[in-house]
Amino acid sequence: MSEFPATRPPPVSMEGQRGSRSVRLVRRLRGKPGLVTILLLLPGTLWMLLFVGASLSSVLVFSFWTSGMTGLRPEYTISNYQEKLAPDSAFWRILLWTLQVVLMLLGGVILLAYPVAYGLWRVIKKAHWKSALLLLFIVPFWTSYLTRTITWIPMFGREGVVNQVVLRLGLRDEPFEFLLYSSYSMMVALWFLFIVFMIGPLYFSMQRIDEDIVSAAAVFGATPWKTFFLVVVPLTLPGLMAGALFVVVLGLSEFFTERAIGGAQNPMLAGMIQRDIDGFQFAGASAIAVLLIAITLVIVGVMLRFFDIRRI
Amino acid sequence: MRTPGRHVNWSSWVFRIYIGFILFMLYFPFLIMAVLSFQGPRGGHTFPLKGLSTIWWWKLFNSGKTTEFSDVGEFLGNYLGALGRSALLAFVVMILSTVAALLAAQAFRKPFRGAGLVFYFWLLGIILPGITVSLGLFLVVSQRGITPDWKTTSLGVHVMWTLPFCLIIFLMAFNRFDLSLEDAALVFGANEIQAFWYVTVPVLQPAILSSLLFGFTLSLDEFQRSLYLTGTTLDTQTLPVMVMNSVTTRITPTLYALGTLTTLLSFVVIAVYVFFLIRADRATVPEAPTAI
Repeated sequence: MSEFPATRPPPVSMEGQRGSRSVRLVRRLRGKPGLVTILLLLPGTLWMLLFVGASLSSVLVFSFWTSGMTGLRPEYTISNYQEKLAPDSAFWRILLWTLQVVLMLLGGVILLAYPVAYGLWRVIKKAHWKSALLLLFIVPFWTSYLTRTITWIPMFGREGVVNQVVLRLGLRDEPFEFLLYSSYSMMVALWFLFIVFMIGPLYFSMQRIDEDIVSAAAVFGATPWKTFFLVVVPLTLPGLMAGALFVVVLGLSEFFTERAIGGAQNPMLAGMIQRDIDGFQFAGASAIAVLLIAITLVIVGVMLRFFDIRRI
Repeated sequence: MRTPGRHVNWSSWVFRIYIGFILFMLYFPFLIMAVLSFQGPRGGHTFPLKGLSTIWWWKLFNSGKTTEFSDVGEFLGNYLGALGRSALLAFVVMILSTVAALLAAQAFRKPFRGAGLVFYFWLLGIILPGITVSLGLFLVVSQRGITPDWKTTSLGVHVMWTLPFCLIIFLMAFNRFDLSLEDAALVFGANEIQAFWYVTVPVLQPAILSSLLFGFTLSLDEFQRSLYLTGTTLDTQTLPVMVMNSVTTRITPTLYALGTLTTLLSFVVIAVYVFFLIRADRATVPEAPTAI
């Protein structure tokens, strides 16, 4: 059994490769590590600069223009912001609602995902079950988000699966009316759409915990509950923060689930942007976009203070 | 204290049942969707089933053709054409972002001034809300008189979205990387580029595979950023954008047939990924890290 990885065998001997391309290139770059770094970073960073720069500067600039009948006009004004940030504007209510949803989403996902990760880590002992179950939990991440969203519609409708079960079991005489196209159905759908973001990072950070530490806790008399809250949870904080980052960032930009399942009556901030765009109010939409970006950056900035993402 | 040996008690059954419940909630809706895709010709997109029929699947493969059951307002877009466009786009996106992210991750291995800044700048691709990116780019492009198209503007935002993910994958892989392998290559006379190509890259196979998988599936599913950037007609839309438009106009079981089809295709993609992953794993050290 080879002890080193089976790397590709190099052509003959390295010594004789005087004129090969890589040798010439290395000779030119040898004294300039800074240049190498720049060259390696260049393709990706240029791409990001172009598209991030273009979209950011665009919403910023156009939020000061005026929306007109025939489109955006370059008449600079702050009225878009005045309108949105006015005390009685819908913006504040929607902002509060958005933050509420994201908070409930995060809380629900954490509560739902922790037992799964813990069970996979400690309770399921056979390795092939672990891998199979882990794969099953991560697979939905790679199926279409849109598909996963619309599958909740037949679940919640008046004639939907949930109501059928409730009626058949005799729990109620009439079907639940509020299930579909309401905030409740939106929340449930969101929890199961986003849970995949949390299970992976949590499990992987649990996997890195040294089992001896858990045994040591037991030796010192800690009950399983105490061990969980005082030992496991603190040690899985990196994974928790990684998952939370994804949930928060993607949750703040959510608009589709509310529209498809939540009844389209109670949009979040991104939904507000979409409505303005549909109404050709591009300047207003840009203003909300700038505000949403600012809010997201602030929240992410606060979260990243507690967590160095480069150390995962 | 626990006695050693097989110890199955009630609490482990609670966990097993709970795990089963979550799995059920994750997969049961797919089953419902698959069942409803065989809805009868006069049925709607929710229960009850009014007979069984494959007409909705037929409509998926015969877009644009009307039947005696068609009615006004029925969506006549070509889903399969959009799927083909999205798949091609996803393929290009996965190659571009994997290569660019791998090179950049290699650069991040040596600390340099401004490394944090560059890294967080890349992260903006994930952090910026999709619809704001879409709006911003759309406004810029339309003010300049450029027509958005799936081959150009969509490609741009898709790579912008997948690059940070791929970068994180490679940074994670390099965090767990065994430096002595490269040192050994250098000791044996390889130069830095040869060491990278003949040692680093093969050892990183699991990470490269993960990056390809992520790049592909993230692009295939992306709709928030490309919402206004795929072009103005049905012929240039990517699949998720087309689906989104269908959902907001009218849902028919054809959408469920499409959803079932794409989900099955996702399973195939994942199976291919797992196959290559196991193959790469077998060729490396037994306890090599498999980065997902």
